[in-house]
Amino acid sequence: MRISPLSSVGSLLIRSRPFQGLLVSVALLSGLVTTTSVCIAALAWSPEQVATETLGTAEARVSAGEGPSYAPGSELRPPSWVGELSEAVDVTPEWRAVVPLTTKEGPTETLYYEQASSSPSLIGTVDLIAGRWPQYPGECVTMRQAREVKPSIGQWPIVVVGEVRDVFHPFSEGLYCAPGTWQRWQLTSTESESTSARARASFAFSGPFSLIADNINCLASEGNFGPMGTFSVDWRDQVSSQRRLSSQKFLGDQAPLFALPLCVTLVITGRLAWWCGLVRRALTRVGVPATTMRRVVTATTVFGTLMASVAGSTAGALVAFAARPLENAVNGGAPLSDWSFPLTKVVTIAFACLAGAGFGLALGDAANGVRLGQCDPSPRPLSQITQMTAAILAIIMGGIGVWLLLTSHDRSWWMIGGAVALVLAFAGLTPVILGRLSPMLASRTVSARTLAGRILVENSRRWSAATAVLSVALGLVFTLFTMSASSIAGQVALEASPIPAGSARIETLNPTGDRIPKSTATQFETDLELRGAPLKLTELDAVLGEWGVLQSFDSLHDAKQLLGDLSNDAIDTLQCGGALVVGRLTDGHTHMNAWVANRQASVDIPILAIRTSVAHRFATGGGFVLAEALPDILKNTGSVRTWNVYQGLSVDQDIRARAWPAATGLSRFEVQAYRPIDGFSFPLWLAISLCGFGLFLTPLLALVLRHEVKSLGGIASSLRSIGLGRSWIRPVFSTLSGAIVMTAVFSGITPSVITVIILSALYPGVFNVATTPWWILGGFGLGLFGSTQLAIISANRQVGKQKHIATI
Amino acid sequence: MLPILRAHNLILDYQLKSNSIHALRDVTLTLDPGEMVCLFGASGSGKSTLLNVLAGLDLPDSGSVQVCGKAITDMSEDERTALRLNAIGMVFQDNNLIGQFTARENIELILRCQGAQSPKQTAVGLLDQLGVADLADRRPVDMSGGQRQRVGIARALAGDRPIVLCDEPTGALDRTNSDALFMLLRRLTYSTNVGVIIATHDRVAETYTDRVLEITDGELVAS
Ligand SMILES: Nc1ncnc2c1ncn2[C@@H]1O[C@H](COP(=O)(O)OP(=O)(O)O)[C@@H](O)[C@H]1O
Ligand SMILES: [Mg+2]
Repeated sequence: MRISPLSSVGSLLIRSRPFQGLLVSVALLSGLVTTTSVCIAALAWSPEQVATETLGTAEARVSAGEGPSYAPGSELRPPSWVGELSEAVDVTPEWRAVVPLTTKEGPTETLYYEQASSSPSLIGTVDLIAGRWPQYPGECVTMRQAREVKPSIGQWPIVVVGEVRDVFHPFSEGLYCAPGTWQRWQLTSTESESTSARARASFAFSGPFSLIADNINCLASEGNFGPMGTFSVDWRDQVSSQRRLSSQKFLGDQAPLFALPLCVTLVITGRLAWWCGLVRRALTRVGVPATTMRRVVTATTVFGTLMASVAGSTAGALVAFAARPLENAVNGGAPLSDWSFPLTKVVTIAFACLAGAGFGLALGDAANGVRLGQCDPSPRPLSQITQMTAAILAIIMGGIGVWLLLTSHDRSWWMIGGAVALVLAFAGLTPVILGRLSPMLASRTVSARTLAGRILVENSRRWSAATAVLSVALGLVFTLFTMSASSIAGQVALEASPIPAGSARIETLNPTGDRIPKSTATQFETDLELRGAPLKLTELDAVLGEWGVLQSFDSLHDAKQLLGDLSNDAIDTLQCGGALVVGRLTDGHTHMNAWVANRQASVDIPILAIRTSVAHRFATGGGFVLAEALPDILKNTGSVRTWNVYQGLSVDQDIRARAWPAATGLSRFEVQAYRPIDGFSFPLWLAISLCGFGLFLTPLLALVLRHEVKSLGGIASSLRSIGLGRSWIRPVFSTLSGAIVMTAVFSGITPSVITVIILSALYPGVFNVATTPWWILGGFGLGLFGSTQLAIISANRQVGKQKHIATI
Repeated sequence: MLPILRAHNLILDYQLKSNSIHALRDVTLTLDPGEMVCLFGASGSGKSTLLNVLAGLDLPDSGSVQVCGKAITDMSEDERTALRLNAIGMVFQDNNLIGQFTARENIELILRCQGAQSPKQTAVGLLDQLGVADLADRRPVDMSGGQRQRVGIARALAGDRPIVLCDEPTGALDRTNSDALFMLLRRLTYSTNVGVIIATHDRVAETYTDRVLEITDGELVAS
């Protein structure tokens, strides 16, 4: 029986350890990544679920923040317009309050809802799990609470007739009561002074959308919901489309989905290709053509990787499906988003694995090929035609990349496609760069650098192939890194706390003209155990140029306390009635118009930019001024709102300040507290994964370069025999490797920079070029360069140690 | 007059798996300035090994080599390399030219590293002396074996080094050219006091040299 070389090579490969190792690891990794990402995805609610969570079955809800509020015991009377709407639109008033209750576990503050049990907000959001819905005044159902509830103050006969559960927030607590219950709460006048519990209405609208929209617009313009800006409307389609932003988060969230399988497969196939290269050399000696061998290896590896990854991620998806009950339980019973087979994930992972396998094969082959090149003395320069073709292809590719980015319209796939195209474009440019660089080195007078240049020119085909592969690998990783980092950085910047840690502020005069009761202000201070008098900050009814509202201090002392030590210039500016602007003035103005009375009048005041680490968080407005020094026109303009600012809070006080509004039900006056960004802080994990990539790439590169240096051992020993030692040879090798690594790093970093700049310009809130930690990339490039140089030096040592072989 | 090269009781064994080859057995020799010595021996007799040891490319197992009074057998690898650059010009059996450089650049390389004045002109002059000035800008791949050999010799002569060691310099040359080469080396030793050792199996060399050494199986025998 004749065995064809093709099948025998194939079966040899399939039975080999390295190949089986590849299949097993690709399958396991794909499975793991799929399971994890499917489980995580299940935690994010679908648009419908989000809509149900906020609105139940209602079409819209109007919440009037500044509308009338009702003290305990008063009758909750819906406004008259409720009865005057057209028949087709259904409005359900829903009352909400925070009430002090006492259960078996002691006194707590609990959310109180009063609405008809048929209210659309309840449908799908609250489940009755025991008893019945309340029907008559005084009847309530509780969430996760003892069946005995009593008010902490006053008399309130509440009968608990059942138990409910918040479908989406299983751990939340609250009390749902039948209409008329609030009215039955009896308090003495001193008792009612002491509580801040107030019921407020919101209105759930159901019916045809266009009718509702007309009605709400009409009601709003007539002022039924209070002044503009004090009420908010949740529309069903808006609530559900807010989820669209999360598709842009894709890069931040899903990047590991690409990166991990790609990198791991790359490493493993790289090793496999290296191993195959050795086998191939042996087999070519006995007559198996190298091309056959290469073809079989490529086909088998690609097919095997594809199968293993698809099988692995399908299994992973099934595991994630099987684990849903468990995940649901762990999640406290809150619903998971609907199950569907994660086809895009499977395809994505398969692509990532295939890409990794492709690059791995190319890299391993390139490493092998350059080494093998020594056996074959004929030099292989890169022709002008090839360089031109590469350049033209690169330009076309770059154009495609930019076009894809510009037309991405929020589609992550477009963005990734564009980024990859740019990476490929710059990889295509590497032959051109090397083709320009090496003759420049080579054409000088004879020296070590010239020799390096000549070596590069002589085999530019192989060198530029290796450089291109390296630059693709670097480019993909860099781009992934910068895109993720800039998108996360952008989100972090958006979510940043309005005020810095260790501070809190409470509104003492709100824009509707309400002044905070003294008791509430002192309660805030005593509850939080705040010591020392607060600092007063006043927002004037004045706008500084295009910058925004002016905020004034009562004294210079206050200004120094909030802004830190001020320079003499800054103090002068304040005392001359000028404004301090946080940040930088781009156009070098020294004066600016401060507008008052709806831009009817203005006054020119001096301005000065200051830099401070703290104040920018308070600088939601335009600038800081000193009240006493202001020109009369600004002095008389009056204040829009005032704040009490507290500083020097402990971590614990920060937490209590955050919880205070909910605990007391105070919503008329804004309380701002430090809000730390939850979730893992931004590029740390990215930096770690980049370092991980560096950790595996550097030795790989060093290994390849070491082989390189060794394969140039012939030249080295020739030089040595005519009297040019290691110190002369070292610059040859370091110029050689430096040119390659720097070219690859350059063509890796550049597309990532371009991509992020374009994306930042297109999606300003989502990507942020300024907060991308470029220094990490720079450091990475330098580290790579440095470590390869070290590898060269040590390899050069080795070359020196080789015993001279006498020629026979 | 002190000898510029002195070798004393050189012994070198190549250790193979099964046996060891005694490539040099107790070799002692000297070379005076301006002297031209011929080293005869059949193939495999140890000529290349001896020249390599004399040039400090290999270290003997025992024995010592002194170049211009300095014991190179006690020097480090880098010191020996530097010494070669400044004191020993070598013509290699396989000429050992750097393929990436042209003929002129190969010679210029030595001159530049030595810090010589106007290396370019000197290099061209040397090539001219060997009759290959027209090859100045050609790379070794584009030359014949004999041309390469002559460039190699020009390189060995570059930089006015007191010792020139030639390993089968006429291996790739025809009769006329080898005669011309021997004449050139002879003239060099007369005019510049350079000491030359020529390892060869070409008996014609005898007529040009001051002294003849015979080597068989790593042993110098009187001739
Ligand atoms: N690197 C080496 N390893 C082992 N044996 C060697 C080596 N170089 C030379 N030899 C052996 O040493 C002996 C002398 O070799 P060589 O000096 O090259 O001879 P020649 O130059 O006279 O032809 C030969 O027998 C050869 O086989
Ligand atoms: Mg020999």
